Amino acid sequence: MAEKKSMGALLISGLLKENPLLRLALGLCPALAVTTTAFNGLGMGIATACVLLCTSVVVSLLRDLLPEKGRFVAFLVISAAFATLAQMVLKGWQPALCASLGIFVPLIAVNCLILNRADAFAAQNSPAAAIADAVGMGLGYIVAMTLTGAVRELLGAGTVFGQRVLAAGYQPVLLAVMPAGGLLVVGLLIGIANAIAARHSGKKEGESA
Amino acid sequence: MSNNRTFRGGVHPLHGSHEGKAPTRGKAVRDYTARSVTILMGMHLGAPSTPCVQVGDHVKLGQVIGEPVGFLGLPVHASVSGEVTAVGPVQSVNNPAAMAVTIQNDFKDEWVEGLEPLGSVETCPAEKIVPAIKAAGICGMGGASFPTHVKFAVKEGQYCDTIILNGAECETHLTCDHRLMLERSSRVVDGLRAAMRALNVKKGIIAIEDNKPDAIEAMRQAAQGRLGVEVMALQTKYPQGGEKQLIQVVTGREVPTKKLPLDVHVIVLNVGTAAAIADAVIEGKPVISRITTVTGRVKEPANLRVRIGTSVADLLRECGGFSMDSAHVGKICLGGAMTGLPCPSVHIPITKANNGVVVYCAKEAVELEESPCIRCGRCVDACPIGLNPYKLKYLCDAQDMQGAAAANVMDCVVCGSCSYICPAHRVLTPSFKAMKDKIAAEAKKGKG
Amino acid sequence: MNLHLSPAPHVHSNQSTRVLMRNVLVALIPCVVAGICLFGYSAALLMLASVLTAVVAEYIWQRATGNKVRVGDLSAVVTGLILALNLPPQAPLWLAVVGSAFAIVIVKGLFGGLGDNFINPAMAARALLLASWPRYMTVWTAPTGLNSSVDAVSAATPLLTPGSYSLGQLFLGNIPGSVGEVCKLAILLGLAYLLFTHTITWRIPAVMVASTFVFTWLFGKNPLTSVLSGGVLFAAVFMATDYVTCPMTAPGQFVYAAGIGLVIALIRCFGGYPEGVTYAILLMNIAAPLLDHVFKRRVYGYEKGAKVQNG
Repeated sequence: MAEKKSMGALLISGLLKENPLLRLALGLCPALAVTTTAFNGLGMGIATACVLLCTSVVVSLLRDLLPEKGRFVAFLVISAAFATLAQMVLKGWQPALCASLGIFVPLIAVNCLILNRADAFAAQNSPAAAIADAVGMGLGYIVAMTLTGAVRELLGAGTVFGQRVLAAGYQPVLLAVMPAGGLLVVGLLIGIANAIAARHSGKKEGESA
Repeated sequence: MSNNRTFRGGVHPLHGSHEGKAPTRGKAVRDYTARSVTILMGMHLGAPSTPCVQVGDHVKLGQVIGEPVGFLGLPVHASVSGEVTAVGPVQSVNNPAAMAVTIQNDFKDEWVEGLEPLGSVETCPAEKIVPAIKAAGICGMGGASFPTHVKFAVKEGQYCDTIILNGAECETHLTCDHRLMLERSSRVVDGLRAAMRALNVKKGIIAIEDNKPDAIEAMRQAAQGRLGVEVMALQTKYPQGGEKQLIQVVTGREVPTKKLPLDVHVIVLNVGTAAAIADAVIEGKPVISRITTVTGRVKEPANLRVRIGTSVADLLRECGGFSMDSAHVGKICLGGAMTGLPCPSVHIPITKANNGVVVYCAKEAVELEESPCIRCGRCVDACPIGLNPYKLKYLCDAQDMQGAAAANVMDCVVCGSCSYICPAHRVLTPSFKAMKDKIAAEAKKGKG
Repeated sequence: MNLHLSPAPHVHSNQSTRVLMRNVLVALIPCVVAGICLFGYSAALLMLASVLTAVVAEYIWQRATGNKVRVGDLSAVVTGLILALNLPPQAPLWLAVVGSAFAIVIVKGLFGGLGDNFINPAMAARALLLASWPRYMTVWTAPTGLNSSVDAVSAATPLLTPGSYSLGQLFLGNIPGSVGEVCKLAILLGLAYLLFTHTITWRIPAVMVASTFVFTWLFGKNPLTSVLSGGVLFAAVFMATDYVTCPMTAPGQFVYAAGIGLVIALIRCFGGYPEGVTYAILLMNIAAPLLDHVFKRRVYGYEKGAKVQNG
């Protein structure tokens, strides 16, 4: 990395400026597939964030031992181990959620968010920095997934976290809870995030000039 | 729909009003001689000639007043007899400071001595024809103004088997070639025969759009009994008279990209050029006049035989002036509506290549506002070359020279068909022209 | 005298975006009239709601995004009207409003406005409505005529009950179906007008109908009934021909139209939907840029098969 960021900056950047889903467009598959409700989005976000955190720490600890070639195989083995662990925990603790997330829990092992952070950050930084990055990215992913789920649930059922928000007569937009609707909602959220970022950076330039 | 031959693409501008030719196509050519003429030294494609007369000199008709410069150089001749009143830069249609010689006409029309007529085009010595063409200062009279003798410079390994006379006159409004073919049919054929003999070509084809049946008939009669000359009727469609399209339609050959017609063994000459060749060979006379159609918003539209260097203002006056209040004049263009050059003022001198002056009212000249491309594909259908104008436009707007070159912008013939047809009024052709000029300038810079 | 110096060409064909859109609207008049005659004033209200929403949405979107307001080009009116003609006559008004706003803002506006949308806005809106509110979008009523006091009787679309309607009924539109698609006579009148005014060419409508005919026949259905029922004809004339979302070259258009027919036949004969026109057109819309890339006109002066980079 060209410049060393402070721990705090790493945390914040994962949440906002480099939000994995809304700014880096990482981890899109589960975002389209399982965020049909806010609860599902939150659960998927937390599970992914935990695996991300554990994988990043281990990769960072092993960073001098991993070979240049074939390092992705090592990342995969590590993340697969934690993904299996996450699935077991989820199954025992939240069996209903685990059932509705289905195949996407074991698939966390190949989530590009985790592989990207392992390769682009953890493999080149100290464990402390890796933790800060993983926590920031993880929290950013949780927020984005929950937001996507909330919007889709609101449009598709008129509720958020199961609580009725829109009046009972509301005719739900079924498309919103279909994958195509997920694509539209994620696209719109990314667009909004980009617009906010553009406005923010425009202001900054104005100030520095 | 006509059964006559045509190319793919193209448009039918002013189809509802006989391509804008109705006001003048029935009008016989009449002579008009101006009181003074301003003769540009750079009328042809290539380096401008050097003036060889001075203020106060008396010149005779046909006297050389500009010496040729360089490979593409042509001599310039006095188009009236009289006194030289100015030698210096004037405003031309595309150059604010073009070298020119102004002559006050004494109306004596005394020809200069030493003209060398070669006699009949069928019996004169063939090797003397091309030098005569150069000495007469002949350049393409259809608009491109390429020096004609250079067209005849057949290089080692090249040969020409067909000469095409371009009588298509596909441009709107113009009727000068039409009238020429009607009134001087045999001179046109003489010119073709001279050109054929000069290069020992066996086949000469006179191609005419089928909106001029009388000209087709007149040329057929004139061509009767002339060796290897035939007349071909073409469908009326713009740009039927474009050099590349004409060659494709008449011979079925295509000029490869970045090549010249001679590479497919063809030379294309305008019918006006052919008549000028005949005049040069038979009478030894240089180009001192040409037929120009003055039409549009003028009181009496006409086909005038004018001396080279006559100003647009004089022509308009000769045609009764504007047909409306001069405050409502929108645009005056040299040439037809598809390719004509807009005049910055009325004091522009006529050159050897100016085939028409068209006046538009303010309403006709109004620029249509550009709106978003709706991808209707009309430009793709209309392009006679097979380009994708809508895509090219994005590349040109982005100033993407490499992208535009890769999208074949250099093959664009700047015919205006896409701009004409575009329902979103997108500025297509002018963008391509600008991009072509830019790429050409860049290439020149790279070389020099 | 103020001489303009704008470059050539100095004449322009009298076609403009607005004129082309107006031609489409004129061509839709027979369908609008037929829809109102067959299904009563509720159909008229539906069209009104849809068109108004489209125009207002376009105006607000263009103002909000700081673009020039081009409502005058009539493209929003066309989108709104075509969407309404694609709805069941008894559809609630809010359905038309939501669909129309979705078409203009999400499908057209977000992708850059007129000319930049990659799928047909009206078709995309219909897909949204069909997926989200199937119980309103798949309930058909038999034509009641102008006398709207008669309660609408729900009926199955002829696509589900082949053979229950005569070819004459199918042709004149005395069948349950969407507002604009039932009367084939009206559609053909519109087609004639569009061809006469050179607004569209024969290529896409002819090839699409022929392809539907051939493929449904090959797959063992009555081809004539297939072509005359559902939205095949209406889509062939008014929606597959949408300039923005169809290929530009003739061969590209042939493949595109044939592809639509094939997908319709596949969906109808082997798929889960009785109709399939909407998805067929959306699918081929997405293929249009590819078809433009594959089927280019040969550039003058280049050998056939020579590598020509063309845009």
